Amino acid sequence: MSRNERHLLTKSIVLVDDEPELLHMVSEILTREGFESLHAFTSPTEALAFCRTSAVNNESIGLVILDVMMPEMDGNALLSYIRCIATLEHVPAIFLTAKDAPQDRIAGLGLGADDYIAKPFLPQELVLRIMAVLRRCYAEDDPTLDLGYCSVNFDTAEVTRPDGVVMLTAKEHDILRVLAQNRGRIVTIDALCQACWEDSFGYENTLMAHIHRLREKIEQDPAHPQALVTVKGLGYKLIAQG
Amino acid sequence: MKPVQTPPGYPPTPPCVPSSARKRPKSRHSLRFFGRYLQQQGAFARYVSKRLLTFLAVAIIVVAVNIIVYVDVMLYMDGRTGAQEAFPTFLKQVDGELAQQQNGQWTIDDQTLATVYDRGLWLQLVNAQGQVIWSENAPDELPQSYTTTQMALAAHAHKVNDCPVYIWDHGDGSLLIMGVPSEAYWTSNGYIGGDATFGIFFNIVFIVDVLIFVLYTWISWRSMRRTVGPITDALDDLSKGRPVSLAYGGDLSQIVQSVNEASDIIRRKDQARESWIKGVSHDIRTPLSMITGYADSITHDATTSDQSRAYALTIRAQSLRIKDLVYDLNAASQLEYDNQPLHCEPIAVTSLVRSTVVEYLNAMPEGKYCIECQCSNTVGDTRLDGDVHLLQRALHNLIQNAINHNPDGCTINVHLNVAMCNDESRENSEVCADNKAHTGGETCTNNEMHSVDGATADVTAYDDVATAHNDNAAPDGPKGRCVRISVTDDGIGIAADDLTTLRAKLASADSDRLAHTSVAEHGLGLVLVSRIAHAHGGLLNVDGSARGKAVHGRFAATIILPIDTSDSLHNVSSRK
Repeated sequence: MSRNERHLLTKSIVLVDDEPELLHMVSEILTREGFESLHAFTSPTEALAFCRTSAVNNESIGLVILDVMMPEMDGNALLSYIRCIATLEHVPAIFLTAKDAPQDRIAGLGLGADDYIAKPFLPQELVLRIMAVLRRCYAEDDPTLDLGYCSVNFDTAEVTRPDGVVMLTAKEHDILRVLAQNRGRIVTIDALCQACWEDSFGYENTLMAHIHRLREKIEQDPAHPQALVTVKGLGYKLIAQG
Repeated sequence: MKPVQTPPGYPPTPPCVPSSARKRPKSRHSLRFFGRYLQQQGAFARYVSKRLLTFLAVAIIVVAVNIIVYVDVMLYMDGRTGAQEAFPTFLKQVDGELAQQQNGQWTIDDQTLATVYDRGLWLQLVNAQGQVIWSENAPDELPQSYTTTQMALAAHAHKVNDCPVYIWDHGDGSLLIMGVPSEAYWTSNGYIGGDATFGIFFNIVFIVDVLIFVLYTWISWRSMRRTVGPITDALDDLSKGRPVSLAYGGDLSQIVQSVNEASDIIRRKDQARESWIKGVSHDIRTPLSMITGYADSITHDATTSDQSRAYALTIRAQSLRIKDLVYDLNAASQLEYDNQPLHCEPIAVTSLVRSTVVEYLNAMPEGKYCIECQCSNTVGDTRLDGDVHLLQRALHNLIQNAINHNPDGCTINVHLNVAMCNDESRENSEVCADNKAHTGGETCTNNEMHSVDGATADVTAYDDVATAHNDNAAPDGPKGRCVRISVTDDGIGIAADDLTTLRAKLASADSDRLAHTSVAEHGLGLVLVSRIAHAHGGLLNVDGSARGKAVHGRFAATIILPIDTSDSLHNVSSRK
């Protein structure tokens, strides 16, 4: 975990699943990863009550992780109720579910869930995806990206290198942002094109050119990239530091 | 036994009565009972009875028509015969008018004479000595005198020189002979005329009867087709596992009902099985999450001994296999029981392949396996109508298959290209395969370039391998432009015998419903891939070679999917 991502670990996370054992395991995994504020509930109504109380007490909730199939209230409904609470309108949510049919996925993401993780999952995968969602949603909190050799400030689009400061162009900024949000994971060429040009086809060569220039700005030795690596034929990956 | 009163449309006896005990009352004297009798029969018996009745009615109609035709012909012939009987009358008239003038000439009325010429008749007056003393319109070949014998024969046969004649006693021992054209002649005994009458009668009746039966056959064939056709089609569908819903009505509504019920039962059973599989696979996920999660935790715990870590790694790997099985089971159940198995949408294939491989790489710890992905330039932004979920599953299974068979690690090459996949290219590829053995595949690349719509083929050694080997396609394989997704590994490879067995297994899995294949024996992985390819109108090819002392083994599985799938997809949507 890089230094400038520590603030993500302080986010308060609400976990809801009707299986106490699973809840226990997920809490354990997240605690081990360093998350400091976990609130686990087996009952959706209790979780909802907790959210309302927090809202009243002005305590922020950073992320909600929900099961879909629960006895009292299903996850979709619970998320809708939580999002009705004034301060939690845009709270990030991840569904953790045993239902993975395409229509379930679409229903979940349609409700504004930020990710959809199908059981069974590997702890590593869970943590990576939680971090990806948190990074995406709380990027503004800390706009700097530490790449070891240099650091990037997304607000000012400045790259601070030992030999000075260079500016990122708009596209370079966008590309780097997507990669930074998915740090440690490969982002496909198509996903990058989609994010930057809203079209996944026809921009591959342009993307390559942008990546090439981006490397000249953020890499010590652009010919042998250390931070922004190519996964041949598939996409690019920003190596996780730390 | 008393006839059992049941409402129409139900069996006459309750099902608990054994069939041997079912005896119907034997005597049915009155027609009044007939309707009820038909009601108590099964629908099919009723249908057949109705057919028989119709046939009987047609037979009666035929007889009636025959009688009518006979009477008509007879009346018509009577008219004709009446005309013939006018000849003797006419002769009598001639006889009356015939008078010798003072100059010795015989004359008849001018009008009568005109009639003689008009009708082609001829007249001769023969005196007591046999001399022709007057003639009118007589042909030259007629004798100018008659012996007694000739006259007797003429009178007997009503013929002179084969010409039909009527003879009249003119008085004074002279005879008046009138010849008539033979076609207009009907002897008074009706012998010749009778023969012709019956001939015409039989011809007309035959034609009318044949017409009636052709009409009847045509109508009954059509109505049979209308009533029975949908039922046989439906049974055909049922036998292939497709649900049917027939419209009620017609003579066979009871059978229609039964077919619909059968279809409904099959559908409900399929639904039950599907929801059962869904339920089980749903319920197994949460416990499996915990097994996987805790096993993973143990492996990451610094205090774990090496042996325990090894155990935990095994538990983790095996639970991930169960996860795969659960996913496969779900996909298989979707293909097998879902009435609309494909949730089709246009898919950008490059994106599909890349995202699937990346998902794998992101989830997989770095190490033994090196996954490479090549998307040929030929693909471009090719879109394919298909089910994203299933196609991802198929590719996932191919990669997983390579990993499962190579626990010591290997390089897995995922390759995507678009090529023509018709007879010509297959031929080329066969040439390729041969050439490749000798020349290392140079020719192959060239051929491949011809067959990819003018686009440049990726000229890589891998390309040769992929296309040369994946085209031992079945004759009913996809045609036209095809997407080929091949996954090749350089691990232990596959022995020729095993390859043959595997191909046979895939072929049998494609022809049968999935339920018939022994999943326990073979596992679902590749079979499912093959099923998914087939559901998209494509196929799965497998090829490879065993690892030798100096050479790598090789196993290549290629999914070939037609791009223009409107037809083939349609077929599948309506369920094979």
